[in-house]
Amino acid sequence: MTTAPTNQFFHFSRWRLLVAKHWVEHRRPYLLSLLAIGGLYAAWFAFTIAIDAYAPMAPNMQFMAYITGLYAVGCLYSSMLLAPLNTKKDALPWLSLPASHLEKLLCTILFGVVLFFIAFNVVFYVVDIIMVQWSNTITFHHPRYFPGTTIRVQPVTVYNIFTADGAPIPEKNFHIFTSLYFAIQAAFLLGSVYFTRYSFIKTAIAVLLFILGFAFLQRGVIFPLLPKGWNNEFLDWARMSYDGGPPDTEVRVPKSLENVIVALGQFGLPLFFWFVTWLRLKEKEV
Amino acid sequence: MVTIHNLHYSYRRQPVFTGVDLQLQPGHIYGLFGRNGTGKSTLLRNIAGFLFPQQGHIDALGFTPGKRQPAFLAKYFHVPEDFQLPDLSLSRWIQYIAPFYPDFNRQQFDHYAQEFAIPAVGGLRELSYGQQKKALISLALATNAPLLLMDEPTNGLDIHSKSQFRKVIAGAIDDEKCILISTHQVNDLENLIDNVTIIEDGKILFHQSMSRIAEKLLFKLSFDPEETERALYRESALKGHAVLLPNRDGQDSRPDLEMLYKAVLLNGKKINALFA
Repeated sequence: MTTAPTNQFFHFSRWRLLVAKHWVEHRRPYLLSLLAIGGLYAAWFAFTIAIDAYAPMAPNMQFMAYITGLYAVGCLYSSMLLAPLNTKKDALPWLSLPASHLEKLLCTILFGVVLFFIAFNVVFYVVDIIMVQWSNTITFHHPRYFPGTTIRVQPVTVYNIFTADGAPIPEKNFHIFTSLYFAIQAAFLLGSVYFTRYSFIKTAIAVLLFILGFAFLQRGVIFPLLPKGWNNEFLDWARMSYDGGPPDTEVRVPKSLENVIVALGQFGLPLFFWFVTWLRLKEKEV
Repeated sequence: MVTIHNLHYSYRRQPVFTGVDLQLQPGHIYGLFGRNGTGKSTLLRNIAGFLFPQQGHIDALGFTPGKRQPAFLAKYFHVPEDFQLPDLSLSRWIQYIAPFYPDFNRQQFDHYAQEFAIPAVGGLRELSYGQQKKALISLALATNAPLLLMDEPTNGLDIHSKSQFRKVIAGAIDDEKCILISTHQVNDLENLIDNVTIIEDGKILFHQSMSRIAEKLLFKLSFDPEETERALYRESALKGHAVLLPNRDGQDSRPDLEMLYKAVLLNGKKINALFA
């Protein structure tokens, strides 16, 4: 006989039991899924090496493969984690398991966000490093030149998610795509509790509508309010003499406020969605 | 142990309960009967906290079930009609789920598993539906949860397993425990339950102990046309009629649950008047 923890909100020993139970029940599909992800990446990279003679495995291509896989698999996985709540036979044992809603949500976040992100990166880099090495070996042993030049195709480096060299500017400067991933993944987690059927598709539509709404606000509402010749770039408004030139006049929110807004977007949105998911879990009826 | 006061519940605009009052005491096995769709499972899910009363209040073991606090969840076990066990072996499943229930007893589980003849080798998903159900019932009993809610537990069990089920449940009840079994197969609970609860039209139509039923009602086979005519309920038998009569002379008879159920649905007011 064991003693029951008295804290009804969060107790580490109960959470640990929950994590162990989740792992032992799901490890087989998880490991198989990771193998499948690695296999798909290997196949894709091999295909690009085979068809691209000049820039196989270029960092921007690695970035695109990384971010596409992360969003696609991460959001799909996230929307599946709480999806059992939408079927009676899975929801009843899940809800009646003696652990708090917070503990169950934190267990889901541990697997769906933290461990998935680590495992995904490990799989991606294991495949990516091997394929970059392979590509560079081919480049070394079979020198190639860009058409009509004497410029030799150079070996490539492994894409680094921390420096984001080779990625588009928003990623390089703010890690915007990587951090936005956590917010969108959290939205998919919420969607799986909020929508009882077709949650992945419905959440994808909701996210798309939100992005379209935000784009409309920027382009259709704020931009027409600006004086002629001014550009609107979310937190930065500037007038330029010619397109792409340096700004003549620039108005931007204070750096400290900009940092707060960016941080809220990066870290606040996932926390907000997780909080709403927790509220929905408490209200969930089966 | 469980007090339900003025429970109202509806699915969208379809009312299921319109003011249910019910009390369940420890030391008893309650049989919950009702037609399909009368809300047997809904009542169980309200008690378990899967559904929230739209009006009224439920108190179970001193908790409000809808809050689904871990301390409450550890004190009851719900055996659903439809379920799915994880893709694990029996021993591994028990190893990882048992620690959530402070009063779980491994020896008891092994005893029940042996009684039910559940194969110890192989995965749970390789077991038949009936064997999986018996594994779940064994777990439910071995948790020693004071409140056990069972929704159609005999569905999918063969004749021999049904009798094993009755034997195991009868052996598991004690003064601290309360077992509520919902079923539409009333005969499966013959000689097991000590209280009968019948739901109809969103209300508790009948709620009596078996001893009171035996005291107030007489179940017999009658060949007397006059007696048959006076019966609260009658149905043709191979010879004569099986009848349900008021037990005015304190005669002994063995309550027939199926007949009682049908009689209450047909003649509930008259039958309840006998218990007033």
